[in-house]
Amino acid sequence: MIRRAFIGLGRPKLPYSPVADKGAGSVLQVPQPARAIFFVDQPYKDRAGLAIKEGDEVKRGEPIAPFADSKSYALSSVSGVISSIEPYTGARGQKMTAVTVEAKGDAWGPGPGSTPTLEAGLKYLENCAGGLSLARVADGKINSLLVMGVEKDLLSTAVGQVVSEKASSIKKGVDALKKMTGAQKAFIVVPPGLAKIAEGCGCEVKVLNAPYPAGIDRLVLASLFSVTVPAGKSPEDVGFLVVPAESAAAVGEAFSTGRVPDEKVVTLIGKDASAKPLNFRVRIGTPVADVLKLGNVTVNNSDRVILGGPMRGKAVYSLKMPIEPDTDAILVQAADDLPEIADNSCINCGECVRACPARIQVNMLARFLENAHYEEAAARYDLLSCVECGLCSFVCTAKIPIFQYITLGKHELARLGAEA
Amino acid sequence: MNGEKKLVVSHAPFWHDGRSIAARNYNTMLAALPAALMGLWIFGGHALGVLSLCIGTAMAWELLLNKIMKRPVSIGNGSAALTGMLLGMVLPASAPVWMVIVATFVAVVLGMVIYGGLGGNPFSPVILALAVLGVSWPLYFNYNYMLQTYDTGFAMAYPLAQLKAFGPGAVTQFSVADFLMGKQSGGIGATFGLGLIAGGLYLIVRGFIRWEISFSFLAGVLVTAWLFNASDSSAYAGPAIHLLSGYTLIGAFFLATDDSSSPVNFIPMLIYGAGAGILTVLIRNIGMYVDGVVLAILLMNVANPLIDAIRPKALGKVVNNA
Repeated sequence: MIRRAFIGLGRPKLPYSPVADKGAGSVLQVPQPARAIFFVDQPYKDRAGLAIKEGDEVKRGEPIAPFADSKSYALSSVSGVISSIEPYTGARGQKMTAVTVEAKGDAWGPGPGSTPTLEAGLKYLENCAGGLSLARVADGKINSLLVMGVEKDLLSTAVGQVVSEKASSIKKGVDALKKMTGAQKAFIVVPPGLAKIAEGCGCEVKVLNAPYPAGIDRLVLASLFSVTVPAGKSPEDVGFLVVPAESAAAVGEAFSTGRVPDEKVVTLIGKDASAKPLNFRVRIGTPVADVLKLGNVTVNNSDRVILGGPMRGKAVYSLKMPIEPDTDAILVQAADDLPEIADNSCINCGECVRACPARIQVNMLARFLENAHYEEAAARYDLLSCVECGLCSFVCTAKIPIFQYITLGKHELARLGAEA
Repeated sequence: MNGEKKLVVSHAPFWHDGRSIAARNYNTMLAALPAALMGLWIFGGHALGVLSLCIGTAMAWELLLNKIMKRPVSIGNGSAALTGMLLGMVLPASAPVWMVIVATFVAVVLGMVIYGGLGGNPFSPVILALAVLGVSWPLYFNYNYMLQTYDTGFAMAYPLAQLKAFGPGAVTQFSVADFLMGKQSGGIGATFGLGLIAGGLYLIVRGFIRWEISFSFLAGVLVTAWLFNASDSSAYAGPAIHLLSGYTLIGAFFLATDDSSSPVNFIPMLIYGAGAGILTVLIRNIGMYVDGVVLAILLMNVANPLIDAIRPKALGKVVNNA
């Protein structure tokens, strides 16, 4: 854990981790799991609405679309038989559907072919490795691709690993995505150490030399492109399609091999802070336990296992939980290493205000959110400007879970909006 | 879930940088300690009694209110102790027991707890208590009266009272060195200029107080006093005495910087500090009170929510210029 320095002037300094050994040899391969779980971003209503059933066969790279009335799907990373279809609630209350597949054999399913079209992308590449989202491309507003070659969170080196070993695939992917989206320009944002490699990605290279949270897409757009994404809108609304570097590589490989890559790179950070984090290549949907086992990390009662990094990740309640397409890291914290959270009231020290990269009046926002005034929080104190970096909670003197209040506020606001 | 490990689940972030309310308060007490100890050295046993009683009763009031209101006991975070300590430092060494108890009651109960405890207070609790007591029992804040029996070996006339009554000619006997070394009349912990400055710098460097407030407060005092002095040096004293006597230094580093009642944005902090500094000298020079720090800070506390509304535009905020 990074502690506050004795000298307390200025913002917290939280550098991103650079990739230590570049190249493919440093990545360990996790074997194919016996059972994989995939989440489909649609609520499970009842069995009558299902288009698939237990016992159905799926193949590698094949989209599993569980609903008759929705195109939402998850890409299977194993060949085998569906063993269960269940409702699942995400860490932030998202209503989803979990599909479990028992692995059997190693056959590949149909692929997107070799001609990059938006239809092929929507049918085979949505939520591929890295967590690509093409849903908004059809609006026709995209004019630039923003390939994210910077880490999403601290400690992780997975994105850097992908950029350093897959520049040529990223180049193919960018070319394909340009054709699919009609974007004229493509940019790749990388940390200084990867600037040279990134020149082979077929994009204009933008070097981001700043500590966390500068690598969050909205902050990148603001700092390197002088483009402001309006609060409550997304980068697509201002013409940028944000493409994780791993997704760009996956798209490139999908159209050159005809198979959608079903593996991704994940950084494993164990309890020993001094040990070097390891990168693993793992099938999406693999249970966390499989990766921990290969990395020799033992988990005890009251430990915490986090998918993603220390600032923006999500804690899981079971080691059976799968690696998701956008999971870049697994962080394990020992029971006696968990920071305390308190229900103090805000003492107005202003640390959060100084730490906030979105210039939100967090001290006031927290007061409104604590008292469930969500609409006022959005209207007067910029709830929707939040880029979700977590620094406010990180620096909070009163140890208030501000980030959690913000997530809750956004969730409740979306719910109120949906009901209205 | 059979046979599975029971994991702790919570919301991000999963790190914290380790700061806490208790560390903040205890460090502020540590920073105030040199000035308090010098006060005890100069004013002796009675000062120790006042300071101890202040800290003790402040914590007792909070504990009592915690029990009455059936709230979790909050004296462990040091805020009541800090309030008591700072309050003791701005009282005269000869303050009677009843006055100390009333002062801590006003500071802790009327200044903090009834607003919901630490963080809810619109005024600095110490400043509020000083204002209420100073208006109610002005004689007990007349340092020339309160400290007349003390033989300290240096001039015990209260500089600001001399200045008010007899003009700048009466304060030429005081030297800057004496002010800095605590050789002046005043509150128990408010006289040792060097100690207060060292404590204040410690808090600034550690990030426990906001330097903008302290510096702009002192700058406000300096510039205003200098302007007065420049306009008529026979009627108004120079900046040195305004900066180094009375409650100016303890106000700049320990009272105006109270978290809850001061702004957090850059420009508002400058306005707040400078406003309090300017008002201090205005009250001292043309107002009716001997020392203006208390009422100046109290007034800026009132204005704080309004001033702190001056804020930068949030990322992505769309302003409709209809």
